[in-house]
Amino acid sequence: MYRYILKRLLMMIPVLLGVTVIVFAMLQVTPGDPARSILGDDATPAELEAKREELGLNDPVVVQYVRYLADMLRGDLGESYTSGRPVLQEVMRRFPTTMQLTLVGISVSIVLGILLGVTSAVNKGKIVDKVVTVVGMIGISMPAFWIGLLLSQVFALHLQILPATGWYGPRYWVLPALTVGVNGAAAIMRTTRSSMLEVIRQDYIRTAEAKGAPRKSVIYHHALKNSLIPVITVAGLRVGIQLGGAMVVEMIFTIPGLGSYLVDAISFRDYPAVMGGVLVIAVTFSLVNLLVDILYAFVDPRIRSQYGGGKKRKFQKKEVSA
Amino acid sequence: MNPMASSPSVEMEEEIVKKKSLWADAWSRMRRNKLAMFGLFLVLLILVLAVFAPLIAPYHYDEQNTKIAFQFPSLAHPFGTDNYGRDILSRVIYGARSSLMVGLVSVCVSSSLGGVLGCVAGFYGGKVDNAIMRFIDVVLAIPATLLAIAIAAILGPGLFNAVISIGLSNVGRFTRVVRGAVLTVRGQEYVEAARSINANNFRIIRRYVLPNAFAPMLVEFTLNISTSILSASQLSFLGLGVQPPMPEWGAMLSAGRKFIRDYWYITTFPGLSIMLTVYGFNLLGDGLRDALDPRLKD
Amino acid sequence: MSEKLLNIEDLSIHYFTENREVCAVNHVALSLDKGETLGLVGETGAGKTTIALGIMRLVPNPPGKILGGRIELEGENLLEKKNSEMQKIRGAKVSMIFQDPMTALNPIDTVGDQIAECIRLHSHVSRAEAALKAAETLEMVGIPRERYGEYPHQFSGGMKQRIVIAIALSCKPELLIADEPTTALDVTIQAQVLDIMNDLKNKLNMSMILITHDLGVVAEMCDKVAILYAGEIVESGTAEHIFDDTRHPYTIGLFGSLPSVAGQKRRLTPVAGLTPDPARLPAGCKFAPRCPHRTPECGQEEVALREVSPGHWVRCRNLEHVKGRE
Repeated sequence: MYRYILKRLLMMIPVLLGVTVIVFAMLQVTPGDPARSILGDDATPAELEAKREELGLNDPVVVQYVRYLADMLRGDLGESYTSGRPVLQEVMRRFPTTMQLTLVGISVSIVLGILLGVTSAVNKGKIVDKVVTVVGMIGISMPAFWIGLLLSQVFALHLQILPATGWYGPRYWVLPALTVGVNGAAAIMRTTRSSMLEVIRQDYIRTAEAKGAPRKSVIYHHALKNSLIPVITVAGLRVGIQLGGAMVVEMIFTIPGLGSYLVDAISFRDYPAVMGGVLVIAVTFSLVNLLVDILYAFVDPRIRSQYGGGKKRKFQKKEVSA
Repeated sequence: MNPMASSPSVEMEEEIVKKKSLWADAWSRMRRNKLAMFGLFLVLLILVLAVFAPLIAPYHYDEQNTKIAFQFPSLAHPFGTDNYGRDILSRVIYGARSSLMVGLVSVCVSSSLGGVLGCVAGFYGGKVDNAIMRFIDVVLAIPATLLAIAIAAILGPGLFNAVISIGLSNVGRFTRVVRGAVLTVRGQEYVEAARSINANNFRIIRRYVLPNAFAPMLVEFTLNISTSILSASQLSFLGLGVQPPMPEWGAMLSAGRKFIRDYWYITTFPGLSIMLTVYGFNLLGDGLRDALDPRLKD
Repeated sequence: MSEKLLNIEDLSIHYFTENREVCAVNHVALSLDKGETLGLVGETGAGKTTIALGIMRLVPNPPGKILGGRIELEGENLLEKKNSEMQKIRGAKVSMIFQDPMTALNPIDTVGDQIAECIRLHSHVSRAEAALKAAETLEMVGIPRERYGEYPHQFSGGMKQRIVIAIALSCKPELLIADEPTTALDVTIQAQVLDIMNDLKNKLNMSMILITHDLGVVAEMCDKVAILYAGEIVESGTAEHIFDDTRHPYTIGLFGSLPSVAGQKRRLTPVAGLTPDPARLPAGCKFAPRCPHRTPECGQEEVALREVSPGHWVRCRNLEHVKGRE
């Protein structure tokens, strides 16, 4: 198991290198001139040229990339063009906020989603199920930013019981977390429901019933535990979606996180800042994916023994994830 | 005599019977599914709105009249008017054009790119598969929303660029689905059987793999339209999508944000439109999945 | 006279799907004494498993519904029990072994825990005691107790079926229902599993209902046999009755389609035609359309079971014309 985790961590390195290549390549084709964004419109051509030389923008692309990588390995993600401060420092200062938002949001999604999904599956075909399914479908159909607007409209502007902007404590978390959480809750609810329905008709559920296990134990112990794999998968994906969606939500609720930082960085063509932000999000998302795979092993002994095993497991695992 | 000589006709016949019954069956199952039919209705409704917008909309989408700005919904303006006095209903109707356009075209981008990559990876396997999937792993390590926003930021705002950025950001997901479907089909006995009669790769892909992987691809296609519409509205919300004066639901929401305290209808109707459209495509996609693969039902 | 354990009367179970009513079990009567083994024989879809699920009160509802009848276990009608009462009976008094051991075990629990769960459900013992008992049960079915902590996927099919048997027998039930317990297993493993079941049945002095379509198994294990066709019992009696004095044309047909290993080579005589669609059962004798001895009356009115000799019941109106097996 530890060997597996180590191996997966090592496998993350090429993926992240790939991410840097993609982001770097994307920034290269971006029209616009960072030197001009820094110096403003009234800079003379000579000043611009000097600035470009200073930033190393006149070197060949490959040189620029290698330089970036070498710096990165030293923990230096460059300086922001707009603020002049080290990107790593700025990104890491804002990252915990975004992570908090994502974690609270995903918790909302998981708790609500599993609860509703189980309720719905167990009452399949009844009114509860129908209501939950319809609401769930509507839930995944609403754009997060609209949910955010509606929530702040109702709870902050009209009822005035919750703050609409800022990030200073749990009270401030409620609306943003709900905003990022509702879509996820709906998605997890749908997955839980269909996974539960699939598991409920398995033979081993009948075996459990034939043992005389009470309904509660059949549902929560035998059925839910066996239904968790796809739920974990979706929850992992939702973390990614919420990390990406943080840009919008942080903008709506003016939360000083990585998302709003990236929105600004993108609009000012602040290359190093964009690179740094995307990289940190990609690392986080990759770690979440690793966590998801480790959770699989926790839930399912078959996967656990695959991780311990030899070459065969790699192939099978890929089948599952595809 | 060559024992294979008779196989094409038999095979063709079987395929025809199978095809007919698969789609006829699927359709009859789907027709019984009220929610799926409701989804189809919503989708068709939005489609009609988009196509015949100039005929249906009571006003032109950019008809400004500051004298009647911020009007509450009334008979003359059923959804009210916005800060420039433009009729919100008309803008919502015209907005269906951008949303559907972005949704449909970007899915075509991602499905064709992802379809080819997934097919090649799944079918050839080995090194090709490895190379493609590692690349996809890299792409998927960046959350799709972030990727779409980043690409859009590079390309600059606009309808076409929004289509490209959303299309590209979903290629990874599509590749995985198609590859998975192809892998499943590739392992089936009828493909083995086709191989055993010496059918070449192209023929196998065209005759066996694609038709059989088509159902999951179609489902993914439909469901992807809804996520693409959501992404598009999100891009517009950030100012990276369709540009004014062309109305777009996400952009309308974004523009109406400032007035949300007093004029709820400016944001509510575009929001509802996004939701209903996405809801329609989701219902349709779910219905298709249930209809095409009864085993997957619920 | 031995003691009666199970008595089923007039049991009917139908499945209701969108536009069909599937008559899976129709007016079935069965009885079983303590220590006896009853073989329930019939083709796929004859309603064998549904009867078993009916006794366990585990007929999936919807779509299944027990329409009427009585299932008496030691004189108490199970159909009148509350669900909570049934939970105390399932696994304790009546246990069931399912057809496919590959899917019958919960893949994410250790096999030992799955046995212990049953023990803990039905007796007030500590976790440790239950584990100890479960380990003993494992050894009883021939699996070393060291494998208590392993998971189902680490066992072969035959071993899994032993574990399923261990779960079923962990609380020493009065009645064991085995639904085609060996169908999914290799032939060599089949014999082992049947041996274990027979041994334990004798050791624990249980009664057993053995559901199978394998007449060979029936001959080896059963005291009584009931032949099921399209949800009805067409012939029932002691094993001797069925094997030596076969009367119903369908039973005769079943024997005709059985290749004999020991005997001389002969042509198999399969039963012509297919089992009727249980949603559209023919009127009159359900077997009439396939019966070589049918007369016009067969397709008109229902045929009642007739007692041809004490304890030997046959559902056929033309017994006089039907010659037994040679």
